Amino acid sequence: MRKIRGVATSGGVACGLVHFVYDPVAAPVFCKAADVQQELARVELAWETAREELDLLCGIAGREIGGECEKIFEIHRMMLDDEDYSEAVRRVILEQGACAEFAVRRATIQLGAMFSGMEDAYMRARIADVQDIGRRLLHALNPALTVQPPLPEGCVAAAPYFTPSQILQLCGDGVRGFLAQEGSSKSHAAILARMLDVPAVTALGASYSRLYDGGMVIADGFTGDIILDPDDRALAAYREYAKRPAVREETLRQLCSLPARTRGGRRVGILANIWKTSDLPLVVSSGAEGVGLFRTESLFRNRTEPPGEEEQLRIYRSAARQLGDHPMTVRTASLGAHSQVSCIPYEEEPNPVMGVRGIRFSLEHPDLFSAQLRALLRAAADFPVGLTFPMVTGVEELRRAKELLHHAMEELRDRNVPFCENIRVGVMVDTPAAALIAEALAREVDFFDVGTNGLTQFALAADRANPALTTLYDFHHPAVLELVKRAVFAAKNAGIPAIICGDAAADPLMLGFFLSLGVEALSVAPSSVLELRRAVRSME
Amino acid sequence: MKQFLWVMQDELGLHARVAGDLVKCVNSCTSKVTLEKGGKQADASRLFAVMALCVKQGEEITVTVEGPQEEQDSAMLQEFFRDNM
Repeated sequence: MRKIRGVATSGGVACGLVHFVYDPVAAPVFCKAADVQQELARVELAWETAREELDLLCGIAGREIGGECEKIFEIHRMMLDDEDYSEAVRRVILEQGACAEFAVRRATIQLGAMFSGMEDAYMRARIADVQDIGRRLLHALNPALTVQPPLPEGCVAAAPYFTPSQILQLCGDGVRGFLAQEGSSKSHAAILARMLDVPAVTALGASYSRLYDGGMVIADGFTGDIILDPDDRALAAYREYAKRPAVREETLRQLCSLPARTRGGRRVGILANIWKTSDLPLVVSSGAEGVGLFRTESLFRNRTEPPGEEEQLRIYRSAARQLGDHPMTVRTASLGAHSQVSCIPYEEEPNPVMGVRGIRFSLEHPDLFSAQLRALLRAAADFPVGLTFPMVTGVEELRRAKELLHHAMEELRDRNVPFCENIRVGVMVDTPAAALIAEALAREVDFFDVGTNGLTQFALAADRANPALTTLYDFHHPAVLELVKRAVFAAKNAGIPAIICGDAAADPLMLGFFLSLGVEALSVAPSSVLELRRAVRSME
Repeated sequence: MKQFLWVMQDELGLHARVAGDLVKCVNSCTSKVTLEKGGKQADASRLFAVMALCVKQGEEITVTVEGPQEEQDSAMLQEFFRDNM
């Protein structure tokens, strides 16, 4: 057992095996361009791709984590737009006849060096932002260059430094803590680690070389102390710590343990939406009564091959296990140009929001879709797992999806693999069409998920990602309320539950409306669960 | 040509977020805007150049605004500096 010390960067204590993270920007290898003009064109294209990704990421970061996080990627976007950067890349290609990959690495290292030479710690921390953009460009040029082999869940990630995108991705992969040779508590990566509540120790300096791949560590993000190869006593002390709930959690828990019941005694189910399995601890600590909507697109991100049946099965099982007896509803992946998942080829579309996405994409890619269905059917054999189909606009689509579900069952039966025959099957009512034919859809399924974001966007013909339309995009609009009402009444008539999802579900001002319709459950972001419970308890 | 001096107030100095907002503000006006600190100059429409000046709290910078609309651009920039820096 040994102790080393770094700078306490993000609070909490992490215990796990160290795994090093690969750095694709380091050590550029010179490679001559076959055709300089072609390399210049590739760089142009990579820039365009990186721009689009960052725009998308700004939106996601803003919605999922919060304003400050959105700013971080907005700055990346501006750095990317700085002509000094693109000019430096072009210069390397023109002057050295280098390939685009080498030029991006070279220019990125040079720009980074500008910051690393500064005496101000804050400015030095910006080097990770430059590297992050460099990686994004490299990925756009050649995805195989930047593929990070997935880290085992529950490990502690170590690297010379971390970039903001890495923190987002690794937290999504279930990494428990971060150890960095350089970096500071002022880096954007550090800000993100704190927002995501994952412990981090940085600026280990020379001690960094004491870490080894697969070695056990206990890292204390409050003090900066790291124990290498902890003995039994240290491990026992850690387990004791892990059991002891922090004071803040204690007060939260008091509200958690109170039922979501109105003053009049009506029970309202409050479920949580998740984007990735690492959100689950938040779901559990919020006291949500299960996951109302697990959006599975994240399982397909940051990889070169889509996850197969076995891998997905592991993910769903481990997620469901964390929820105990609570139900988990999984939305089948909505892929295609709209979600820009690079491991699956998709056609460019003039208007991806209204393009081949949701169930439309799934029905065009039955192999991909069936792998997910089989994984869900198998997970449902042991856990209360259900599934729901997005972007359904007709009964025929729904029937075709259910047909594929039955095919998947037959396949599993032939393989003699246990699965759940009567898995809960739902449909997202997230288009005006679905709301208007809700009665017909209700006859086909076990429940409705009323997707208020989609309903608002499509009913008002206002793209929710377009900042110029924020005042038009309003889920209080009577047209949206009318569609919600139709969906809920159709569900009631068919005797199936309707769960309200989307931003409107978390709005305390909408709660009265939903309860007046007779809604029995709402599904919101984990961070909104307690607030909503408080609101329910204050209703008559 | 319009010129004004500014002493950096923000405790983090001209950090990334403020630098980003400044570049946005500069790009929204038609004048050419240059920052100068201790003999080093930077084109204020370039984020990396602005950050490379490494302006810290208490340091003084000279802002130069040139162009047909320099009068109103300079006024807008001064307001931006007052509110953000």
